[in-house]
Amino acid sequence: MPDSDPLHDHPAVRRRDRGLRRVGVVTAAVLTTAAAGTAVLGAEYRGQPPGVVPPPATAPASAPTPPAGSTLRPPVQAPVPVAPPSQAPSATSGAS
Amino acid sequence: MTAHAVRHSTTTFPALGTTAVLLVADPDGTPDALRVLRAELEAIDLACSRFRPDSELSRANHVTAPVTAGPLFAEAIDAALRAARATEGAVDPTVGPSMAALGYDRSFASVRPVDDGPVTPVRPAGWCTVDWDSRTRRLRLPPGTGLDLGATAKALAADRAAERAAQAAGCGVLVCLGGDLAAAGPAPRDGWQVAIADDHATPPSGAGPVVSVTGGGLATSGTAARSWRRGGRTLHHIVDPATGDVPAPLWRTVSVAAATCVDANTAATAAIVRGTRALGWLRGLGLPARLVRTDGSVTVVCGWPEDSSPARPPADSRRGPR
Repeated sequence: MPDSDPLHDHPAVRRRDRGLRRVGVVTAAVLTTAAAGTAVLGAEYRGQPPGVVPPPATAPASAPTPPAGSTLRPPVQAPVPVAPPSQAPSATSGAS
Repeated sequence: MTAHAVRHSTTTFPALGTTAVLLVADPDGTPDALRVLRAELEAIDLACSRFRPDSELSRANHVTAPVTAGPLFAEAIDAALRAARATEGAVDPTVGPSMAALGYDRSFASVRPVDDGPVTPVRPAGWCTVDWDSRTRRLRLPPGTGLDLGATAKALAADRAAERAAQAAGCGVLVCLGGDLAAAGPAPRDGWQVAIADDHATPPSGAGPVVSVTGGGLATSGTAARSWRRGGRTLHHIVDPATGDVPAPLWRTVSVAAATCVDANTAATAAIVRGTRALGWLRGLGLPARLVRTDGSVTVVCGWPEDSSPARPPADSRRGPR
């Protein structure tokens, strides 16, 4: 028996084997990514309370698009009491 | 003035159908700050007035074709729609027809104080119907829809004017427009002392609660000012967009402090509309606020200082149409 298989050492066969290995690696990567994505999405949807519909990825076409940051922001410092005032206040905040 | 009197200057004049107050920490900066404030008020009036036929707002409300907004009008629309989103529609810029149906269809000075005619509330179309592209500044309103930027435009003017006036004057400035105020630049050592009242026209005597602010915005909304009678009911200028009618009476006056005057005024108006749900909502946002019920009892949240004396009952002296 020869030490090596002449057919297996043929360049075309080696190219085929390398190609099969690459296809195998890519297939494994795709399957792993898909499984991870499924797990993440599943966990997110399990975390939603019943009846809650996740917001759409995009706003309805008819809805206006106000700028980002649609949350009212608190002041850096809350108003501080002035009692008793050392002098008459300079302005009044009241309904108008 | 004595040697211990306030060093800052105070300038008061009528504007936007109400009163403008300008405080400048360094009186030498007053002329520059005043020039900036007057220019800002004229610009916001020309862009956003509901009662000027030549305003951009009036033109937009009376055409069905798309219009291109100028930069300031666009900023005001952005602010109004942001307020609507932030309040889940409790502050809605499409309440113009609702306000007109309640009788506030002209400048407040011209509103008939009493009219026995029936009132038929009109629900607004809703802010989501406004076709607005902030990038191209293209605005199109569905037929029958009218914008009313009253809840945010005045506050926006206060924010813009305070920032620009502080830069022009090179010192701290406070701008107060009908009780909605914004402070910018370095404040005086003890801050700006502000009286809290049901009506902005109450002279700042210090008899009621007084707070000190150093920056950002502070605004008060309430039902004690700008009210009138129709069909045996007392109406006012705050509309619940869900019904097109005035909200159920719970809060007489709500004052809120926020990062800007627009945010403060948005929250104060929304609190009046939200009624019993206002306290939890304000706490969730971390906004310091003082809420006065119709019976005069007061609740404060998020670090707003407690009153040292109980709130006074609503003033009997009535100004303008009621």
